[in-house]
Amino acid sequence: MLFQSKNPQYEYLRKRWLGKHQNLSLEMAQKHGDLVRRVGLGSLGGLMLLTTPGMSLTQAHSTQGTQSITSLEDRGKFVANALNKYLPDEVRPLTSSEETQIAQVLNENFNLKTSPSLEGVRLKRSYGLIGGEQHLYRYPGDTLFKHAESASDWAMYGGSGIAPGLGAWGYFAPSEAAFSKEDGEKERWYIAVQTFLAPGFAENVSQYRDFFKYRKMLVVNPKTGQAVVTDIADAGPSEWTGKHLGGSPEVMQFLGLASGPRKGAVLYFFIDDPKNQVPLGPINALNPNQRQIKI
Amino acid sequence: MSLFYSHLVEFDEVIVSLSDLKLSESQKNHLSQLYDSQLHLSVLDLVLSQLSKEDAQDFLDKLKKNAQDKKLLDFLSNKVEDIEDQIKLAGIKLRTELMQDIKKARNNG
Repeated sequence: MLFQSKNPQYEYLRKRWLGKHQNLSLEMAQKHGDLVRRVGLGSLGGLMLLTTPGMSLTQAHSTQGTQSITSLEDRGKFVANALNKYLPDEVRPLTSSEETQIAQVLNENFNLKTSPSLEGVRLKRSYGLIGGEQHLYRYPGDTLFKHAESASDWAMYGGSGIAPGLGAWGYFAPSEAAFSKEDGEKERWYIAVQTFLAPGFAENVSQYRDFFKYRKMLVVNPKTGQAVVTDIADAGPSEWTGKHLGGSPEVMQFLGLASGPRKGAVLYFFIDDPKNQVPLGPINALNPNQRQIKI
Repeated sequence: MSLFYSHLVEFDEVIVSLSDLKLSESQKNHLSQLYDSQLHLSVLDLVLSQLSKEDAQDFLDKLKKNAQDKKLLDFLSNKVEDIEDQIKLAGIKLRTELMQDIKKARNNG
């Protein structure tokens, strides 16, 4: 039996806009199809997939190769299976040996250098419950609406709202004029971690505060293998919440945890990236045949 | 996601109007994606129609590498007169059309 929407407003717009979209696609194919094929994208559809908002650009980064495991979902499952060998049944702090083994799985699969501690600093745990956070004000005068860069962006993330207070390090930029793309990425892919519970925090507050500021961490949903390169831009959540870290609306979306309770178990490891070469945002596991250890 | 022309196109009116309809979150998401996608196709058609074959190929190569790169607009501005205004107009034209659809949908509901 077909499952049909009975919302007449939606059905009307869906039919109208799908029709217009198809006409535009057809027109594009007729006028520019040859050109697009020549660029090496194979088809106009390829170009649309690569450049249409809402279609993940990260998918395009991982389409090379024709090895046995090619779909992103399969690669995610591959990572999830590899992690499950070392993960405990309950969500608890990992032992040192578990952390070492898991870091190795992450390094091999994402071609990053990750570890539970960096420069002698670590968080209280590296496996915990993440909860959905709101957007953060990025500069004085910022509004929730300005966070969205397209209609689908707004539809997907606008509902999360904006936190009434600033992040742990204040605004990302002193003014809208000084606000850069890089600042935008820092807010978009931010996490909040319990910096205040880090061993040694009370004795080294200022040193630790500097260390944690926008520090990159790889956050992985071990059930699906979905992963995001994030940066620390806030401190929290409080211990009484039962959660151990928080993710921006975008982070939660790409971890596959944006619906329902907006909560789930994740691994979070520091990324050693002294030259700032690892871009923030979703990251796909490598095809298993392309894996290499970068330690 | 920010694209090279995102700052030239206003989508507030469409979003606010969609929010006024009786739509579920997933329906709102779907329609917003269709809106973005139509806008994207319109902008690409506008741009490709005015570039020489060599420039169009160059543009598509750059777009393939990074569709968010604002330098794409610099590239286009050097090749096509008033391209920013043209993109703005294409955005307004599409928005006007879709707003009429939303108005009709509201009457349907």
